[in-house]
Amino acid sequence: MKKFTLIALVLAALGFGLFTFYEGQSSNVATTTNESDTQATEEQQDFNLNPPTQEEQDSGNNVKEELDNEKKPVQEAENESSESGKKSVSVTLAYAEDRGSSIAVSGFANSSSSGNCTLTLSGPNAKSYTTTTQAVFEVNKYDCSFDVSQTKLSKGTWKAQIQYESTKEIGVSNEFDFEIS
Amino acid sequence: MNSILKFHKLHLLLLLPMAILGIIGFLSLPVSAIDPDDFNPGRIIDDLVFTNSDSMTITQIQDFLESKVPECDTNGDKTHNGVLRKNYSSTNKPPFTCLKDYYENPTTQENNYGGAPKPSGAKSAARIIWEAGQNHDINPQVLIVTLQKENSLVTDDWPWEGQFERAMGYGCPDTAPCDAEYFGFANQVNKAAWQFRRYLDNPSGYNYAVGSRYVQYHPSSSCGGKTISIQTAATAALYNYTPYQPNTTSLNNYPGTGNSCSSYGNRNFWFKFQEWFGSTLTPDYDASVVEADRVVYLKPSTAKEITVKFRNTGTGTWYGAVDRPSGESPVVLASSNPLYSISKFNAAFQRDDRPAVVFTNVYKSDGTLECGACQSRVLPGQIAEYTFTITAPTDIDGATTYDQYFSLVRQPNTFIYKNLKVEVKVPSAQTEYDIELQSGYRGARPGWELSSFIKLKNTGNTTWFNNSSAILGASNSLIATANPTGRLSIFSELYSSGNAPTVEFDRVDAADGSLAPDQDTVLPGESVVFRFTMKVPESLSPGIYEEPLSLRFKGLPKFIPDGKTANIKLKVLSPLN
Repeated sequence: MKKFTLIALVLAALGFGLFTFYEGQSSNVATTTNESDTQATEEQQDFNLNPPTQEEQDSGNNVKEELDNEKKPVQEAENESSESGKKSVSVTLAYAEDRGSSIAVSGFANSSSSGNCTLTLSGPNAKSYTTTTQAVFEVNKYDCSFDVSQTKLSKGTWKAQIQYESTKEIGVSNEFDFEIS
Repeated sequence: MNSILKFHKLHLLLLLPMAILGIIGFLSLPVSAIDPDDFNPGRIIDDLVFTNSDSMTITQIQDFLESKVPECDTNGDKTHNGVLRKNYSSTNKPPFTCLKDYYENPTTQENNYGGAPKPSGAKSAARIIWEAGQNHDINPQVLIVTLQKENSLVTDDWPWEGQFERAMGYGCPDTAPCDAEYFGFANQVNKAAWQFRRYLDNPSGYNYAVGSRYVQYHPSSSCGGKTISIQTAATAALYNYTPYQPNTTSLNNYPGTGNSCSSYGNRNFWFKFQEWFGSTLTPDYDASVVEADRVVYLKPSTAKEITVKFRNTGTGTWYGAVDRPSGESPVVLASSNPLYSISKFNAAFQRDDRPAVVFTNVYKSDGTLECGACQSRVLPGQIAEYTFTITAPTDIDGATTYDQYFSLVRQPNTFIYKNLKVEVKVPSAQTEYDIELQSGYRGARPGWELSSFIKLKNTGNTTWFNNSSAILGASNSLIATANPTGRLSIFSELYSSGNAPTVEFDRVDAADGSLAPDQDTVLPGESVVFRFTMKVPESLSPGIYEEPLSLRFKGLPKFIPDGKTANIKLKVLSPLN
């Protein structure tokens, strides 16, 4: 009989613990209101007014450490010198797409110095097209945008890639495939 | 032995349900917890949620900020890494000012950080956030979450001044210090909201827009990335602001850190928004209050129009009860708490339990009036206006505040906005009057018809209604016999009834004696003339007669203000032969 009671107690404790855990989790999640309001007296308010969690309280401490270190920017591989003697910079090609009469290409360099962007398009039958433009500063990075007339390119699958180069930095983006139909 | 066995069985009977309940609860945990697998990099947040600038009032923002910092460690008395915060940094000394207590003059950037006095023209952080949302049509919740995501200002109980200076991370490259040009809390909040709006309004001008876009996992391009299908302009705006998507390790380790290729900005935005404000995706039926008369002063026997405007922040279209497509459930404004309860103020409602079942007006998302033919439906983003009349019954208890709840409901019972509270404040009713003039003492003979009148001045705080104009639920006023109440008058042949000379106003004068603009109501301070004809019966014996009359209200026979009886006297002479 003791075994019987023990099993029951363990099950109950486990169950109650899990239930409590579940309740604690759900209380932190804002709820939707499509439910009966027979119990409710408060106006709809989808805000979590619970006190901050430990993680939320601690998050400010991490920010302070970053503030202390602000003069030492966090950037690993990109800040290492490249073969050209310039620092490597991260370049992202966000998209290249056929917009009918032209091909739109856009990307950016995580750079803090003004430079030029060179777009290289590689197409079917080893055809290629290259053009260069000056990057435009946008809040916290340098943007590279291109609008290439479609008449200069043949139908098929193309690859786009941009290179960013300033007096201090250089970097090459990912490749981005697009189709000209 | 038997009793012990019973005891154990009883244990089981009591404890097993708890166990089952707990296990069921645990199994259903994923329903409410935020599951990293639900993160869709192409749809972090929907446009209607992102641009719902009415999601919070200034007060609600302030309440929220206070909830996240119950106690500001102003003097740095707590420890950090084993060191008193007041001694932790040589350049960041207390007093610390928390966001909930922060004030700044947005023009001069003067603020009260560090125990400085509140500068002239300063606005609270809550107001600055709300105004930025309003000015640029961005959800203030987006701005709040961004404040947290970038500098943890919302929950920090000992923030440094530098956190306010770069609050939104605006002008802060990933690879260099922040640009001081954009420093300042209000400047940061406004610039970020403005920038979000630019991203939404000029999608082709930026790297990320709806469509296929390559998004890196981390500022380091060696970490790679993935081309994703961005489905909403708001998600694109987030990527334009913070151009990285979280990798799987980052998502699975929230709120902790992932690996060297993890980024956290958009991950934290997605999790934190849901933790604090609910789904980032647009529900089918949802609304925010654009405008509402939340406090109404209403005297007994009076009525007032109130207006409530809701913005459709869901994906579904609302249809009124009239002119809706077949099969569509109407959206109505209903009394609630509980839903469809009968309001005591409902005399002029379109249904007993529903103030309005059709929209009074429908506005476009920019607030301009929709076309005439479009007044029976409210598209996502548009605004529905309900203007309806609440009426205080004559016999309502005065000196009381009534909480009246209304809900926007898609019939039969899908809440779109739940329990909007309107406080109806009813002062104590004082129906009082003075007798200004009345017919004098006159002689008459049997058979004569005597034109008579009483002029009463409304010296109380209630409105009197004419018989033909009384609002629903209110009682009309009339002149009735007194001493005793309801006495059958011997002069009543030409009266409205045997005990009521007249139920109609003859003339209503404004307080200054001029003709009142509304001849059907007598407002406090106004006067009213009741005119009626007394017919002396043919058989009436000569003598002196009195006709005591007083003001009464239909349906309230017992109500007679004390001591206010007009006594019209007649000397009846013998008939002429």
